[in-house]
Amino acid sequence: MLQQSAAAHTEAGISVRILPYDVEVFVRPGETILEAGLRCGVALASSCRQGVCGTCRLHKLSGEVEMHQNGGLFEDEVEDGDILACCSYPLTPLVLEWA
Amino acid sequence: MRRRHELCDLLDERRPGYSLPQPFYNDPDIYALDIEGVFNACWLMIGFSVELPKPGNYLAMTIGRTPVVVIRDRAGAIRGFFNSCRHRGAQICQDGTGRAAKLVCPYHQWTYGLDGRLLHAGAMPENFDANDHPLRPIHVEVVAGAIYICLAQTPPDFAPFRRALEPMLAPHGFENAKLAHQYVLVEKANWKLVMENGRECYHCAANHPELGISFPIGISANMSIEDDTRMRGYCQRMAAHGLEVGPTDGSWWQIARFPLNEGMISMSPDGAPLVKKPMLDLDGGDTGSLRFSIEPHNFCHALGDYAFMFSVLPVGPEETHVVAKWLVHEDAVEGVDYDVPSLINTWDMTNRQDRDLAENNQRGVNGLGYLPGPYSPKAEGLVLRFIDWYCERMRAHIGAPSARIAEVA
Ligand code: FES
Ligand SMILES: [Fe+2]
Repeated sequence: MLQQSAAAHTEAGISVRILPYDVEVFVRPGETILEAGLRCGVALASSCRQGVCGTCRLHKLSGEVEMHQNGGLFEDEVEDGDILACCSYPLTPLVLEWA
Repeated sequence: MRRRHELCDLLDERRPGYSLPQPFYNDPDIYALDIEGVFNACWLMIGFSVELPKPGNYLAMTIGRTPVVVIRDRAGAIRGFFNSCRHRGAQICQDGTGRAAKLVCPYHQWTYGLDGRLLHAGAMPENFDANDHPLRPIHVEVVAGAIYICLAQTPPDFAPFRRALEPMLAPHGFENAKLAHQYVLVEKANWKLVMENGRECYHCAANHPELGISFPIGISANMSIEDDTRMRGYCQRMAAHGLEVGPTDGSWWQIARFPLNEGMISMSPDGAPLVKKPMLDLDGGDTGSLRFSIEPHNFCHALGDYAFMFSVLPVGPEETHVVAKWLVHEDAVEGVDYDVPSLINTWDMTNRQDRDLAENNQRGVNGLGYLPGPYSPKAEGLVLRFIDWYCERMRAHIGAPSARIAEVA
């Protein structure tokens, strides 16, 4: 496991897998998950890009993010693992699900 | 407007004490006026506060042709809005229940706070002021856990109803209940036929043998029991518990507590309670039923062990949705303290029997042979009251000063 995450921290960025497409994108430093996904051609929906509208919501199955949302999610939804891709930065490799 | 004149003539044509002329039960223009004059104007009962347990929980439904959403805001208050985006009008929440941190239009993602304020609208010009485009509120009142809404700009005075209902309903603990079951029954009948049927028990002895086990289906003007001695005993027992019996009413509402049949504790197949944890924990749940109802479209029964709600929502001249909901104590565990099939059995059977009656009534009324017929003052007092109320309401609607000015102009 340790080995795997070390491998995922390449200079290309931190590995983020997005289900159910099962694509893997590498999020570069300073880049949001949404930006990285769009750069790599993953079909992710978004609108406000400032953590308000919730359009970019994804569910986190594993890993940690830093998120700067603006009320697009309730606290209990965040505790349940929901994230907003437009304002989230991976801290570790992630497995996310588009629900 | 032509249809207003026609409605006026038809109202004049109605014989006092008789059912309505045929067009009232199937004419699309009168149906449209019913929506305007009744459903867009009156208080409506849509459900219970416990259906919205957390901030962001909402209940969305269509009243006539108007989608509305009722939601618990971040401060815990229950608010209502027209469920149409202020951008180009798209419906924001789909009808049904859900939870949302923000109300987001699925079309262009205009985003509103739970207080209705517009928070995000992409690509709008510099001079666009979000403050000018909040969601439009509707009126919401919550009485001891029962939610009422009104779409009118100026709703009918709600205070007298609240004053009467609150103390009578509060002991039933609707705020500490949960929704055990709900469904929508589609009925191919005009909403007024559905309501007329629901306002009398003349048809009960023959058509609802199951309900008749517990429910006092004897012929009476207002569904009360006629045995004075029993009624006196019941009233004394309720008074000892501090439970008001009533009856009390206003022009568009009625509230009364009444005893069930001798030895019957709940509206159930054998009169025995259906839920082990009662909502009103007095005399083993033997408190009869608190019936509270509003014109145009609703009645509820609050029993010792459960509560039942029946609200109609018209969807077309000859189609009506009956929204049925069952509440039980929040601590009652399904499969342990109650089970849903038994809980809903009596009213579910009754609802389906009533649906058949209303649809059958519609078919007969649609025929060439239909003529308005007389209501029984003894057995159909509440039907008469409903229809008289309806006629008055429609007169007021079409007689509104603005309509008269329009006619003169
Ligand atoms: S795009 Fe609006 S919250 Fe992410
Ligand atoms: Fe009935």
